[in-house]
Amino acid sequence: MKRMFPLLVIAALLGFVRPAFAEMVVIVNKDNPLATISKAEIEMIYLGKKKQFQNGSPAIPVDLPAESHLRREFFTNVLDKSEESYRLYWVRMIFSGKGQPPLTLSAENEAVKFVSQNKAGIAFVDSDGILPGVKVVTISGMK
Amino acid sequence: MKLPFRLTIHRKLWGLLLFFLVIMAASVATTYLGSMRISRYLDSNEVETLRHTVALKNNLNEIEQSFNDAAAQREPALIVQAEQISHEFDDHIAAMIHGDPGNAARYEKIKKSFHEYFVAARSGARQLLGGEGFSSSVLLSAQKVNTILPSLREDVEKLISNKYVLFEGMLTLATGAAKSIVRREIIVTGFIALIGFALVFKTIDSILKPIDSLLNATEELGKGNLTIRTRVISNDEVGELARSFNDMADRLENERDKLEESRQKLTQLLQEREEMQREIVKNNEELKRANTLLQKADQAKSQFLASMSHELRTPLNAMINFTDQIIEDWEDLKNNDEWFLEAREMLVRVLGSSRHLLDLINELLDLAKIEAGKMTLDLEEADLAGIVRECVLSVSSLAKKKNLPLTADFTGENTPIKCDRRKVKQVVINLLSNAIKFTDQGEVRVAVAAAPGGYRISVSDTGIGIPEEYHARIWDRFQQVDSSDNRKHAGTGLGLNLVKELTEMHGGTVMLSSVPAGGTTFTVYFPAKAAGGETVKAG
Repeated sequence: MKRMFPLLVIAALLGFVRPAFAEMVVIVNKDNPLATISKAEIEMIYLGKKKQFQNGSPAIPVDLPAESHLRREFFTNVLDKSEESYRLYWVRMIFSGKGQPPLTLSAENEAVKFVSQNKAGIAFVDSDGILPGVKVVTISGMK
Repeated sequence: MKLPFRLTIHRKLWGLLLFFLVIMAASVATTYLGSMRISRYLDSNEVETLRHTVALKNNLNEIEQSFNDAAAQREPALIVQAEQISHEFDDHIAAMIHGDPGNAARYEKIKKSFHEYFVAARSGARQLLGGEGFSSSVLLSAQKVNTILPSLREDVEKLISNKYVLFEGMLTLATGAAKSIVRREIIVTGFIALIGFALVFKTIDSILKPIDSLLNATEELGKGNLTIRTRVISNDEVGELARSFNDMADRLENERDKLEESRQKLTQLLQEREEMQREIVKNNEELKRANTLLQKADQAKSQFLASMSHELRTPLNAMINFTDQIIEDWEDLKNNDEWFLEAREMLVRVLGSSRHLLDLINELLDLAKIEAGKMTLDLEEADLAGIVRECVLSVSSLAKKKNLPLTADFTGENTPIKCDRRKVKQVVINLLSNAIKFTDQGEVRVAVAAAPGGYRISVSDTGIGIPEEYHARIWDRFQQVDSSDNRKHAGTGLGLNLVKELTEMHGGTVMLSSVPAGGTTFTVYFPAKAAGGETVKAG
């Protein structure tokens, strides 16, 4: 816990700076031993370049519909990519037969539900809608 | 090289043209045959199949791109385009099955998996057109594409590499064939080019050499060298030209030689004529001179005759008149003593005139003898001083009449010489009487002196003298200094000439030195021994 202290401080600070907005968090299944994940790793997983977490357990990322405001934040802050280029990337991957994109779920609660029921799941959601079956992982490398 | 026909320039050029046409035709034919061989390799089934296989790969790429673009740009038309390309793909497969039935199963398998892939990709693309995210059905299609496409690609690639190996074999064969064809073409072309070059060079040379030679010859001929001939004579049109040029030059040279010959003849004739003319002129001059001499002689003769007749008539008249007078007065003479004495005087005159006449006639006869060459010297040992003394005696009466002193000097040894006594006397008397005749006062002197090889007699007077211009003429016959003087100084005009002739007959000389009004000196030289021996003929 000592190692996590600065991160908690940062998180607290972020909460303090933006108290009016609901916070975007990355969640995994509660049985997933993962507590923290790097921005680069998240990017690799969402771009299909990695299909496992760092500890070797499989990772299945899910996506939210385009109208979700969380999605924009996730793309801008975590993936460092525009939604359009992300889409073009995956279209190219699909038709060249090089992989399948993360499944787009219809709503945020669906994503939470998917992660809570799927041990390999990973998603980005609003911190408000967190259910007992999932846990938030801290993202290292965030500004 | 002997040919059965004449190799004219026309034939040479046409021959060259024909040669190159044949060579070009042969070259085109061999090139065509070679290309046929190459295309037989390249048009084989393997190559055709390879082409289709490569087309399959391209079609796959194009379809992928079309679906990708359709989804990315949300453009349904691109899906239609992909469908069209899929038909091409089918066509290629069909062609491959047709062309290579042995591998039909393999192609059929590819066709089947392509269809599966195409259907999956198309449904995926269609779903992505909607703008929803990556739904589960999209993921399903993606999964299918994911499983089928890589193996499909792999199959096509394998096919390509299989076919490519075969194609490479064909290509090697074709390349080999092409190389051998090219090599052969290069060698044959080079060889032909060499032959062609040699032929062209030889032809040009054979045409131009005679022309050059002819041109040079023509220029030389134009400069006037008529001996020039063109030596290079080809068996063609230029050759004919060269031959006729040489003929022309021959004729020109001939004509020139003839002209030269006639020119020389003419020159010779002209020279001869000029010489003749010169001779004629010379002859004419001589004739003229002779004529003048003749005229002068004729004139002198006429003058002489005139004076002679006068000289002859005068004493004769005197004689006739006096004798006539005496005969007429004969009776009175008997009675009149005075008349009788007068008659005697007349008779003395008649005698004088008769003597004068005799002298005249003697001189004439002497000259006539000399003229006729009949005068001879009657040589004898004579004392020159004695002769001169006799002469002085015989003319002393004449000098006494004119009251002229006549002196004679004798110097040196007096040795007798061989001479014609009468003629030497005649010379001295002539000179002395001349001197007395032309001297009115002063004196007449005669001197005899020994001279080298003989004696010199000089007769000097103090008379009227002889002008310089008459010195040469005075020796000529029938000449006197002045005709008007004839009356005053009667003479025959033969005296001096006779003196000269007689002296020269003795081998001696006569010299004159005189100035008008200053007196005259005649000097006669007689050699001790008269030249010419006993007798000397004059002339």
